[in-house]
Amino acid sequence: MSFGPSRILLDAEASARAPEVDFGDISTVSPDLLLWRRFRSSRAAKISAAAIIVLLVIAILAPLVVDIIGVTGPNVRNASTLNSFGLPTGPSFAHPFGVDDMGRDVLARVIYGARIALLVGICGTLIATVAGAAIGLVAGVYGGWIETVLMGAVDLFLAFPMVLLGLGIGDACRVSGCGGGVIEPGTGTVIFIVVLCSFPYVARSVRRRVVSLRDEEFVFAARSLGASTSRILYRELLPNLMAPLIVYAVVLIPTNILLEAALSFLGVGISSPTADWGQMISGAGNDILSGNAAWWYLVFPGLALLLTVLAFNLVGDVLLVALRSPTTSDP
Amino acid sequence: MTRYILRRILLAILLLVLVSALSYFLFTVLPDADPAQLGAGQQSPTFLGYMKEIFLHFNFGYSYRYHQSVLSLIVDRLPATLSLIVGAGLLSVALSIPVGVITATRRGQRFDRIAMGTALGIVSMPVFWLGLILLYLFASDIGKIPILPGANSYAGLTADPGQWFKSLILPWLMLGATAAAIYSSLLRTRMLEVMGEDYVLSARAKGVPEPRVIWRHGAGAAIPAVVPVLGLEIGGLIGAVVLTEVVFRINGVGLLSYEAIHHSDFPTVQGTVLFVTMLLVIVRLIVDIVYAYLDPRVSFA
Repeated sequence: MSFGPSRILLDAEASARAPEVDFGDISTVSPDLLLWRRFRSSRAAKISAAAIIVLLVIAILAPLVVDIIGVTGPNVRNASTLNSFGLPTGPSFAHPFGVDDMGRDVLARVIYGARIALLVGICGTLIATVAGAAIGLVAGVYGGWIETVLMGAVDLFLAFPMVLLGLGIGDACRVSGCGGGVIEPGTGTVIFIVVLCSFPYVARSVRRRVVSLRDEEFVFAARSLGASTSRILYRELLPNLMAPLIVYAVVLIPTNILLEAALSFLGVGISSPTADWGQMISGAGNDILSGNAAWWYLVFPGLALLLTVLAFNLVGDVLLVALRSPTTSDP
Repeated sequence: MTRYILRRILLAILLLVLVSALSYFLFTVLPDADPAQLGAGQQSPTFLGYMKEIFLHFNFGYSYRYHQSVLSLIVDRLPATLSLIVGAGLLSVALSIPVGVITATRRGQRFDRIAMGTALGIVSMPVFWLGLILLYLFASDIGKIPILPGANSYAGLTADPGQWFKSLILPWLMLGATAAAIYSSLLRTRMLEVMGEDYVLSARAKGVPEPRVIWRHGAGAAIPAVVPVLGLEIGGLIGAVVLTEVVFRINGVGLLSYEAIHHSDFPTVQGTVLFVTMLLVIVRLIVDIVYAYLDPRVSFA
């Protein structure tokens, strides 16, 4: 668990040598296009991206999908699916993934669980990336005491271990939310935690890139032509940061999906009866540990989580390597 | 060197103060309902009072559930957490150094692809789910192949060394593999960079045998270069430690805070989060100082 963040920092620190594929005359290709070509040349990345799109469609159309498959909804308790001892029944034709201890269909809950995972993972990462990029840009461009204060604040958040920070905030905001009603308990709080845990990595990496970019000739040229700081920021630096920012976001999404699941597993994330993978694993785990052998409602939500995270990681991995190769940093 | 160390220590002290201040803000000011009041009708402390308690009296709060200071609860449970971390740490180092170095020297070959694919799989694995699956398969009480002690079987090192070792095998393997997956791919990246350096080329040119080039010139430079990143990674792994303790019911600091959540024992949650974070600040300080000794260039930067 937790893989992306340190890889992002590594990327910003240094770049590996020897590009793996030769793309001909690099000097005519923009960094964004190069990134896209690298992505297209990797079969694993393409398959993963297709899987992610399918997953997104399933998540958005969850009610329809559950209807088409013909299983009962995620919160329908069906006592007739429990056997004569009141124990859940395993995978069958009517319930492909079996039912859980309350007689709820596991497949339907896994499908609905994708909604929360993707919502928190993608929204949280987007907010964190925008916030981190803004902080990193301002710090890198203005320098001086502004840089010291902003980067100090970023380091302060980095000092907290991710899951523990989430545990503390999640527990504090569990009852009635926080921030004067802005952040509601449940999904809102989890997204808030995800943002707090991931924006420092983006901010740090963006600042490093800005610091190396601000001495480039094209920034000098713009400045000597009389461009204002804000123009340099928006028109000169930001376009050069788009490719890294997209990569950072893709790399952070799987980390954040795992963080969300971990928080729900620990009881400070999404709470019952909302279907959520981490929380399903938690419930199944308690049953398994007390000797109930109903493996199916432990295995399936975990597999869904694993495959989702793996798909994002495969795409992120290819993009990170592409970003790190020297051909992208000096076209 | 002395100046560098002194500056690092001062910065760490400042960070400790700021971390405490931020935790006061996040856990007391930010929540709409004051969690301390929800618990036992107590007044939560003022900011200055809070800081004074932490830095003058080392008071991290008072547990509603145990009627004991949070600090003493943490100290009681620290040995279990440290046993877990030290064992898993040693295992991950023993695994990741050979894997990281060999994959880098055989880039693109079968071993590299299999090892890095496995690493990506482990990293994508929710550690709490893996733990439950392992227990379902191998735990002596509920497992299908009952060969190892299951959850809730942890015993202290001094109380029962045999049981201590056996009960930690599964958690060590799980946590060690997780850490090794991260470390080995970090090391592989560094190693690839180092092997492209000119001095490696010149070592080869003057006829140094290849194993010596790889291990002395390559790994000798790549391994220390990973150390500063480890300091940051520890933060991520603490999360995995908490989850491991919860799954295997190892009576450590992570399980303490987990149980506190489920008993609305908010001061214990807040106290453990702050204490562990402060401990981490100090650990990172030590890593930095050790690193400065290993690599004198750092203190000039």
